[in-house]
Amino acid sequence: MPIWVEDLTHIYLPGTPMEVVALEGVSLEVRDGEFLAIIGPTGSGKSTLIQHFNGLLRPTRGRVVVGDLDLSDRRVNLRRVRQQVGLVFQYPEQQLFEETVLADVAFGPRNLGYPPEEVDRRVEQALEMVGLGREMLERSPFELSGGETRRVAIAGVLAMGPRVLVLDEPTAGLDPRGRQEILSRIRALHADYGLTVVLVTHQMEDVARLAQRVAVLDRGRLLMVGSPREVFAQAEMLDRVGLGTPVVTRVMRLLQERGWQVRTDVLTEEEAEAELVRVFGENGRLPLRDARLPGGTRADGGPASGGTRGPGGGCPPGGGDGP
Amino acid sequence: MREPLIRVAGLGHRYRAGENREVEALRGVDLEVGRGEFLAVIGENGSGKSTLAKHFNALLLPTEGEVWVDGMNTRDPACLWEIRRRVGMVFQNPDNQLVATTVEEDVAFGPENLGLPPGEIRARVDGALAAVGMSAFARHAPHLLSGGQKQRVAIAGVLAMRPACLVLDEPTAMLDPVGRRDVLATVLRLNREEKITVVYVTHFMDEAARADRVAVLHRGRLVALEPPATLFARAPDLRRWGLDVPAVAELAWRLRRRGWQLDGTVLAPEDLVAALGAR
Repeated sequence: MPIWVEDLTHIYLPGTPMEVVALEGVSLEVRDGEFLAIIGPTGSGKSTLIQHFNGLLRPTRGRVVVGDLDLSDRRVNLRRVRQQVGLVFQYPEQQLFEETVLADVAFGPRNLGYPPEEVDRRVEQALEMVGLGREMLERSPFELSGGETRRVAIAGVLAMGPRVLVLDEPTAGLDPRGRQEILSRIRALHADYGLTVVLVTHQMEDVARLAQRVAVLDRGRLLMVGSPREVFAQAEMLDRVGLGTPVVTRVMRLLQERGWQVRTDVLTEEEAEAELVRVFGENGRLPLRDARLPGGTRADGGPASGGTRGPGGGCPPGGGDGP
Repeated sequence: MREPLIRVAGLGHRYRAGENREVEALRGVDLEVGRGEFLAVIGENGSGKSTLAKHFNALLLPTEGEVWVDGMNTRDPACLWEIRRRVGMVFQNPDNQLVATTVEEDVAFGPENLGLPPGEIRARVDGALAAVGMSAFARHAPHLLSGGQKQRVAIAGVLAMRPACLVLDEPTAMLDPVGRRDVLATVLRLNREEKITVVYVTHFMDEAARADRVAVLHRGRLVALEPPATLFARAPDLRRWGLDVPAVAELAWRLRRRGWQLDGTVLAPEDLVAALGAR
């Protein structure tokens, strides 16, 4: 289900001395079935924007259309929109309150008035979608690990049966294992269950690995939308707004500054390894002089390609832009 | 040899969880934090990191074993004031730590409570804000600052108490990339230039890689205590403990696996570039 945002402006407390323009003239499409990341420094308007995706906020100016429903139409049933577009807030486990996992995940569908069998079916499917087994059902959410608790909270949103899942920093405060667990589940929700996913995050590495498109916000304005490769090629812009690039991208830029003919649009460790092998040769023993000179010779004796290949040129070693 | 600033011996801590259940958060932890050291503490959620950190300024008292700060036992109620003056804490959420309506009033809160003369308070506030690079914001309202700026103000508030040691419990968990970078750079500078001892709890392996030593907690036990260079060469152990290696260390590992010769410790982008260039 696509979401269109047209020329959206949001002002908090308009006409008061406390007035804050949180979003200004933002136009953006969330395409049906895509994995979109939204990045931006603190206060750039990310959280304000996603609260427009299911009508939690109303535009000061502009329009938000979800599927065939124009949210600026006061007659639109927002309850229906909120079922279709599920929002997972930061630290969602703080909103868990029931005594068992079952009761917590069932809370939403029960409130929607589904019969008990349907509630059970939805709870079971939602837990399966986040990779938690039936043995979890009777446990207290407060006995689980950080990553597990957060997955229970996401299951609570999934039990409403949304087509679009919007997550606001789902990995904040988690240890590396918890972070990987959550991210691989989110990847599966997109790839295996066909959900449209919108991920708000500060972790550029996660954006590089997961997203098909990236929207960059700064001070309430949309600076850029593009593939991770296109966006992370704008390293100076990202540094200026305070986001930076994935760490392997920084390695390549440093090498390029030192005169090495490497591509700087690599996104993952795997791609960086392949690019270094391309430039330095299989055994990594290319004499310094050859690799640094444009038009030098590769270790395997082939023609140098580094000097002629610009950023974004050619096929990335890791495949396409998406997961 | 001088006494370490913090000495932990056989530390255990049990929490009561409900009527008749107890949770063992720490068990048999032995650890010293040297004067001027930068110690990172890592471990998965629930491994006991925060519980350990709270023992360093007697916010928690051991249920087993002892903790000494500058030679004072945290169990001794007469030492409580002196211990808290020496060890200042900074927590994860900056919004919960700022209390006043301007930045400088917030930083002055501690020294005012010490009953210092106004001139001394002024000097400490100015010095602390300069130390975290926030002097230009002295008259600003804290709630209008970014997360990283708020966290630096929180650090200034602790610095104004002139502590020997800063304990930071996931200070960058809620920050954007530039906020993370600024807070870490501030803490590193305070450690290297002002010689303040730092205990830094984090989930970010690239931050831990900047420490002198890293302590790893796993299920309440101390399972490793060593420099980042040797620790992050132990990828399989780290993964078993629910942790990871910094991205650059991962890349270096992949290249070394191919037989590439990369000399020295490779944890940060600059390290890898230097190692590649040096061959």
